[in-house]
Amino acid sequence: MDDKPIYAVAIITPTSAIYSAVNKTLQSSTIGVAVLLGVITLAMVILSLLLYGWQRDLKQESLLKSKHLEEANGRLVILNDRLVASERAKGEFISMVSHELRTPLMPIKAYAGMLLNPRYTGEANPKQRKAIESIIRNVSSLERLVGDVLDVYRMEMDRLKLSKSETNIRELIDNCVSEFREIIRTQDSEKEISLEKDLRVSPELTVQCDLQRISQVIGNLVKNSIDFVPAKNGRITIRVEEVVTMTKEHMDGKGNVRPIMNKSLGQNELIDSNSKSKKAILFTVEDNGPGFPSDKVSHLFQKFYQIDTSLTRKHGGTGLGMAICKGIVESHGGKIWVDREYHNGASIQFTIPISFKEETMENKSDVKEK
Amino acid sequence: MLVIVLLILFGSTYVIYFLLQQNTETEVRQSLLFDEGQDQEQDARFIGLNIESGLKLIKTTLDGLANSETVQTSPLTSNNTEKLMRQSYDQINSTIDRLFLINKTGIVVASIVPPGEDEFLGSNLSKRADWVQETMLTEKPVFSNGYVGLDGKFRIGMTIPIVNSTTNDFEGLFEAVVPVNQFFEHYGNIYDVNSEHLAAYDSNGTVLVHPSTQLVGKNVFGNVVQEYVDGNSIYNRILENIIGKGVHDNGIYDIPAGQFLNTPIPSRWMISPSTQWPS
Repeated sequence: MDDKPIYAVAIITPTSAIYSAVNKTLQSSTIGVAVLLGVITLAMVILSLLLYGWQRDLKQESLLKSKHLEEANGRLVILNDRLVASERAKGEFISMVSHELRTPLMPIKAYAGMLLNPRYTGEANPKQRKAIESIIRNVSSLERLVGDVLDVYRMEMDRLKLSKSETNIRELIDNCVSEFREIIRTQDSEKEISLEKDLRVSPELTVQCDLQRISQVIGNLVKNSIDFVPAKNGRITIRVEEVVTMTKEHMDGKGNVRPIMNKSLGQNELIDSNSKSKKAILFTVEDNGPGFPSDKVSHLFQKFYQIDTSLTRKHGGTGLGMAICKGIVESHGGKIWVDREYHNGASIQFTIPISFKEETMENKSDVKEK
Repeated sequence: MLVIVLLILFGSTYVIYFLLQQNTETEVRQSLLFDEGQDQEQDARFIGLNIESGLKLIKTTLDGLANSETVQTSPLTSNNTEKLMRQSYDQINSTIDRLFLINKTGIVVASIVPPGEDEFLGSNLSKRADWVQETMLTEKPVFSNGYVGLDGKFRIGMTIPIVNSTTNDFEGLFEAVVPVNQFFEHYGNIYDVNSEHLAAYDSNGTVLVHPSTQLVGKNVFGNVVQEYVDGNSIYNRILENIIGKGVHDNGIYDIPAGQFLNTPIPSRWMISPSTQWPS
């Protein structure tokens, strides 16, 4: 048999016909994906442009605000400079005015005193004497007022001068008590006020301080108490004790240093240089008056602050006394505060550091002297 | 800056996507071609079997006619023989267009042809058709190669000898003429080259059927076909294996008319050209 076929039949297909269906599918798939990617790309580009625009706007806005802030800051600086200059001018003006007011008061007071002295002007009759005494009393009051104003602005201008000396605490308190007992006796004779002292320090304890200024502080506090204690059975106590104060860690909620009480420390006991504790003298002036409303205590040491203006009219005063006390105490490196735990009247306490001389007083005083 | 980064990012994504897409497409195409090749080969086998069946029907019809009692006992020119020829012709005229009764000297003594066509009565076909002469000599059925008829149609001829069953003498032969296009159009597209189509070749490599009509009747290794396929080596290899060696082959080749997947199937059910019909 011959292997040759009699014929052959072939199916021939153009591959384009085979691919046509799949080409259509692939083409539509490709177009679909391309369109999808295009849309996503376009969306992302638009989003990016929006974000870019947003960022640019924010940046411009930020720059604009920064510029405004800088301008505002510049204006504030100028305003501040003006305010500082104005404040300084005002202080200087008040200081100058106070001096100018005080200057004529001295001869008035002197001449009034001379009128009471028979050796100068002869014996004055009772009416004349009473009038002269009234002049002297009012001049003294005016002198005190002018002195207070002057002190306040000296403090503000850092021009308060402290004349420090080694002061015996017992002597300081004894003198204050004697002076005020005399004042109570002469000026408030109609009142029954007892002024007591409670000295819990050794008789030899001395502290480096300005005797006159500390006496002024105690005097202001006692005078306040005299004004507010009851006319009958009024009681004022000045207590002095040696304490250890702590910085920061022992601050109470109002920022006051809480003294560690009843520590029997020797006067010459050295403080560890690493320790933050300080030895101090704690002065307390307490009375059996109405005390301070708790919501007004925080304003007590502000200038011209009066707890009750009706009381001011009744008792007088400018509202500068407590501010002056605060300034003097802080100038000595101490603190002054209202003892809120005392509920039988008013109790104001302040400290004067014993180590004040060694550590801060000198530097601070030097600055103030300048 | 952000926009540029995004554009680069999406540009890269595009490139990666299209590379992957191209790769996928290539894989899909290869897979598709492989599947198509498999299917097409299978289809070609089925079509080959159908064609064999079609040819076998013609052969069987002619065989039945030659061995019929009428033909065996009556003269070849009798009316009964003509009637029987007509009946047989009617059975297979969808695939043949002419049926001749030729005596033992090669003269056409009876014929059935489409109206208006030459009946060739009295013509000696043994001188015009080798396959007629071969049947006369060998008294065996013959399946001719393709030839172009006088009317220009491409045809193949099939002859069945009439052998007297009593005397065993050769009495003549029947020839059925198959118009190739008419025959093959039953099995698939033979007109549109741009879609799946059939091509058929005879044992000499003559193109029997092809949508590109200029190739019909031409040898696959001749100038016309080679010019048509631009001497494509894959095409030539496939045809050489199929026609020259009778070995199945297939392939994809690019020729000026386009790219084609060709899966030819050889048919050996009838040994060409001088072998007998299989029994």
